[in-house]
Amino acid sequence: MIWFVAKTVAGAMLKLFLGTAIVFFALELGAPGGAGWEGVNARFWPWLGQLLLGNFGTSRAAAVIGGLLLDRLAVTLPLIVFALVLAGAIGIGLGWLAGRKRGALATLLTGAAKGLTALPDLWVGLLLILIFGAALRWLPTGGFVAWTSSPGMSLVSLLLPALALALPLAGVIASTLRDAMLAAREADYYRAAMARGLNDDEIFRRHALPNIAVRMLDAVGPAIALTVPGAIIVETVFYLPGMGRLLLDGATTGDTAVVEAGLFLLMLGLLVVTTGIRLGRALVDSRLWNKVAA
Amino acid sequence: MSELTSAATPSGSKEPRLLLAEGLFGVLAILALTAVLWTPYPVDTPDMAVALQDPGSAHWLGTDPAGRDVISLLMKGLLTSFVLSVSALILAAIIGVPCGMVSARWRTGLGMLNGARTMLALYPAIGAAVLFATLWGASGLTAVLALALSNVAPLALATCNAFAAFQSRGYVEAARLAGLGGGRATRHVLSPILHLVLAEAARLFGFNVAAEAGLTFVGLGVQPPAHSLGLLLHDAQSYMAAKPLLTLLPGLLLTVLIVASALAAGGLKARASRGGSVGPA
Repeated sequence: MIWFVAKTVAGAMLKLFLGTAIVFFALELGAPGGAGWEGVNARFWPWLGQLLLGNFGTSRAAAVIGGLLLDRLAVTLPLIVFALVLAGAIGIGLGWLAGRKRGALATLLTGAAKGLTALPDLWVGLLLILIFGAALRWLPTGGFVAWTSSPGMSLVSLLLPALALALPLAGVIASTLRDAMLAAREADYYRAAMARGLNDDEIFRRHALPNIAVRMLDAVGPAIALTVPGAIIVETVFYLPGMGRLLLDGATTGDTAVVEAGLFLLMLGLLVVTTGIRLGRALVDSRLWNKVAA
Repeated sequence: MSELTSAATPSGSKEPRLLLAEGLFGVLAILALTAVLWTPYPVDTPDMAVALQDPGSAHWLGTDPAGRDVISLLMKGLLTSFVLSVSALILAAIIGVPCGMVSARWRTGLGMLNGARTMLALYPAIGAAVLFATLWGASGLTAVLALALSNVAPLALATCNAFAAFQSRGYVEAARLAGLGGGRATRHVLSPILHLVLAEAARLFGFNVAAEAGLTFVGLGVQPPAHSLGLLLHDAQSYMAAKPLLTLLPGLLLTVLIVASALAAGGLKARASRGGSVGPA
């Protein structure tokens, strides 16, 4: 198990290194007036060293990027965590009901779950603004109240963006959970356990749950990883001063130092999520422990 | 259980999901193709005199903030969605499908494919789009390249899995034992394999449509004189309270496209599993 964890983490770090190197070389070599291969190569290692020490350099406007990133992460990280919590709560609740109930209600809930997966998060965000902001006037339609001025209001300003990120993901979670629960009932181990005289709850807890968890992590993992880039779009919809805004502004102004730092953090975020899911899956399914991390 | 029920349905009858998807795609494709030659109103000449009109007899779905006819804009945007999403898929297929076939044939390829897949997953469409936009300036082309990059690995993996799933089937083994080479043995299952790969392509088409709109919305894709559903959503946001229809319509169109591709993907997958058990159609 420890060996598996070590290999998975080492693989993730190798990928992060390669990914960062590709971004750095592409941007530095492609930038107008670039230093050429020799010059860029010479700058790469010191740059990487500084990056690992948390020194991201300065932007074109001579702002210290490290400080910028911290300010922006204070918006983006809570947004993603909030969205994952909401998606988990809504998705598991909806999927559980759809898997347990029978008849018209189950069809309705399943339809709702599948429908949510088809909505682009961009449009979900706009719809939420339309409903709760423009029509009902319950919630702010954009912008962000700084944590230091009023933490409660900051959370309120993150509610709609988080919901926009969460709803499509909740749809994926719900429909996967529902399908997995139905498949568990059809499975041989379920019938075998019934024949041994276990009651429904016991079978579910002891036999079905690990199987469902593996299927969930397999199917939902990629969708969870997509919330990291999805946050960039949702931040734009809601005018949130997060990482996405920083990255997009860097791209439009051609500020390579900012884009390099931003993409590094994006890749780091993605790797943390995907590696977490991989390890979680291995925790449930011990057959993976002896497999080489791909 | 499911094998019994699927064997009971006559193999000639069509998957209902596939029929519905064909109908939806047919209507939308006709609308988009018409926009190549003709739209009800010209879309490149703003007319502030008729800006932000409600639906009426002259403009059935009203006009946008620049006084352009909404139906015409939606048709042009639809065309962009189709063209960009399909071009990204074609680019990705040129690289991904052969890679998948090679990995399915020689097992060592699978490990490399998996490595490449997790590596490519580090550049989600938007990350790659940021990189390309910084290098060359954002345009429809950089968006297509970013989408293609994110499509390569899923397509390769689907191809590999499709070939691998059918290679171990009894009749392929039998064909191989009968002295047919690997390539000719595979021919017996080409139709279900094709359906599986097409199913993944259909799923990715829906992903591309949504991603293109998102990229364009944040300024990483198609730029203003051109038309895109993402740009329409972007322009509509300032007028949301007064003219909600401008936000609702492009999003609805996007959702219909995504639903149609999900239906197509589901239908093709079901057809592949049926085709596999009855033999090539």
